[in-house]
Amino acid sequence: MLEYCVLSLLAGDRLYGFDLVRRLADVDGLVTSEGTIYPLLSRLRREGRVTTTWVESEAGPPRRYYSLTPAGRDALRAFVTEWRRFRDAVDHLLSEEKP
Amino acid sequence: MTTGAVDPLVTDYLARLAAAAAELPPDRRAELLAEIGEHIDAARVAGAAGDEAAVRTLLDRLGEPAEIVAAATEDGPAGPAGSAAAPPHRPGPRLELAAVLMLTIGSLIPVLGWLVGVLLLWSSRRWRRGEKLLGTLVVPGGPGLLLLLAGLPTQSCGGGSGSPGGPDGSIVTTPETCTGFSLPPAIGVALAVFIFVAPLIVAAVLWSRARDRPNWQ
Repeated sequence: MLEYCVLSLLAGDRLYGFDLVRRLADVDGLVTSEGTIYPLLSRLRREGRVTTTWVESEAGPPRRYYSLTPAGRDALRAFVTEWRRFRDAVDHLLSEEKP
Repeated sequence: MTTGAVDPLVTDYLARLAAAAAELPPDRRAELLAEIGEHIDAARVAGAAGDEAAVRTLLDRLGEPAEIVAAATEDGPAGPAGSAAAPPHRPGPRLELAAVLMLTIGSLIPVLGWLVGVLLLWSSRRWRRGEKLLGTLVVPGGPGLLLLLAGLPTQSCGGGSGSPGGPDGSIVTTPETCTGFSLPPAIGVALAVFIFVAPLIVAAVLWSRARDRPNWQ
């Protein structure tokens, strides 16, 4: 689940680690230890869904930016379709449960 | 940007992380240490590590080094990097087993157990839509529904007996009174057996299909 949130954040624009992690952490209950996002990013990179580039920073040292690969974009699209189907099915069930 | 009291905190944290990461392949270990270091540097630039309290908060939010390394070892085999060409990890049908168990045994936990089973059922990639509908709609509530039904008020009858109580010693009869509802026994028993057995059969069918399939349909 978390990995698709990462892919989704990167779908908009490339982000550097600290920025990405803080945006994820702003979603309540999603991340308990921010540091564990980095092993996840590492796996996404090895799977070819995410790629990194170094970009000069105006303040401080160059930064490693993470962005989506075409394969990452495909994986995200497939997940979104599946997720919506699942969500609709559960919503439908829950609305039937109402008294 | 940082004071003298702050750097030892960071140095100590990174040292603990390096020690915890000793079990990782060297390139993965170096990568993890670099990225956590960059995170701390970026936090400094962003002004999120201005004093000792801020640095402690930053490191707390990052989490215990052991926890981070555990996440790195969970994420795939700790083999040499560049093994990206290896076949993707195929977990066994554990999710499906959990779903089937929750839909049957778990349904003894009223409502909640069965709902969890349905959530698991729909989050599986091994079942087709029709099978998921089958698992959901054949006795919503699962075998545990029997427990709920047993808690409903059923028919109870009182009175109907005669007692000597009249002033002249005559027998006073009170009419039989019944409350609640009841089904004819044969239908009630058949329904109970169906509620109990049908979900078990469906669960068995779902399980046997999930077991033989890859993780994606």
